[in-house]
Amino acid sequence: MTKGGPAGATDMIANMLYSVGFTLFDIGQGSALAVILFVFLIALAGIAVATMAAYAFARDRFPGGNLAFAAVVATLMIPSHITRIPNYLTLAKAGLLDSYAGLILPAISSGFAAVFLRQSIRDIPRAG
Amino acid sequence: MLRKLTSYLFILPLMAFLAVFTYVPILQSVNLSFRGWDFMSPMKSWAGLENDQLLLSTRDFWNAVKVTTIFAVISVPLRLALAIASYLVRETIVSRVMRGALFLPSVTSTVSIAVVFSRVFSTDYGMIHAGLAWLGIERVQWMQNPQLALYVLGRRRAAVPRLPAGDPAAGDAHHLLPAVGLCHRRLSRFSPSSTS
Repeated sequence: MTKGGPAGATDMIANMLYSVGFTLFDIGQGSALAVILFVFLIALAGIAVATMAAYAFARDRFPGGNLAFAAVVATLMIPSHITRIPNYLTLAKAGLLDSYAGLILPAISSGFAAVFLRQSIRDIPRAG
Repeated sequence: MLRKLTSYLFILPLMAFLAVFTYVPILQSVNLSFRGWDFMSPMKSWAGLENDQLLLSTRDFWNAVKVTTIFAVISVPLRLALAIASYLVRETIVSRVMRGALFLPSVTSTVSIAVVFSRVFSTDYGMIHAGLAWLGIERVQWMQNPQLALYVLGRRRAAVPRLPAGDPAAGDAHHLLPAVGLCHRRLSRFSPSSTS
């Protein structure tokens, strides 16, 4: 609305991306910003989701917990190519092709991160 | 009771994402494998085991099986040996650094590894070529030689963008593009001439 002004006070990455890319026509820098935004979002969302699950797996005992954890570990052994085509179809059906969401959503669910975070959380001694 | 519910809520987001993007797609993949579909038409006709029969009858499939087997037989024991070795050594600063170094490839992007290794094994400008030239050894076409390429790529998973094609001089175009061979068979099966 204020085009990132006054004096850059509201200039978020997504906004800056457009101004750099299409006002200054520096497409290279605009693309670099897009990649940075993309990586940030995947990292933050992925870590948030994985840490929550990892904490529950590491510290809580609940019925079905071990089974669920086994299901997460099992995803580590599945080649990602198997899910490629169905994922494309899912995203196409949801109308998310050619969008950031279409790239970010499938990358958030990381069994890898969850398993490794669980191990690290287990290493932290309990307080009291 | 509330505590138990909290646990389930904690794992819910991850399980939901995994369900949508991993578990369900696997089942979908299995379902699609029994159908004849070209990605475009709304009809997904039931093909049963025809796809698998078609695959089993191609030379390209058996070549891929052979290559995968060789790769697994060589690569897996080497990695296993490294893992066991890193477990057996005494815990020192060096062993900790080494363990980190061993794990690093797992979290490195395949693209960056591919770029670096395509430079390292480059025929004319590669690091290995430079070292061998210094010793007076003729340059080796690491990734262009069909006998050699698999073992070069085996150092990392086969992720080098410039894929080792079969020797072009042999003129075996069918071997160069396995996918083309498959598509060709598939199309000829559905073309009017073959159905009549």
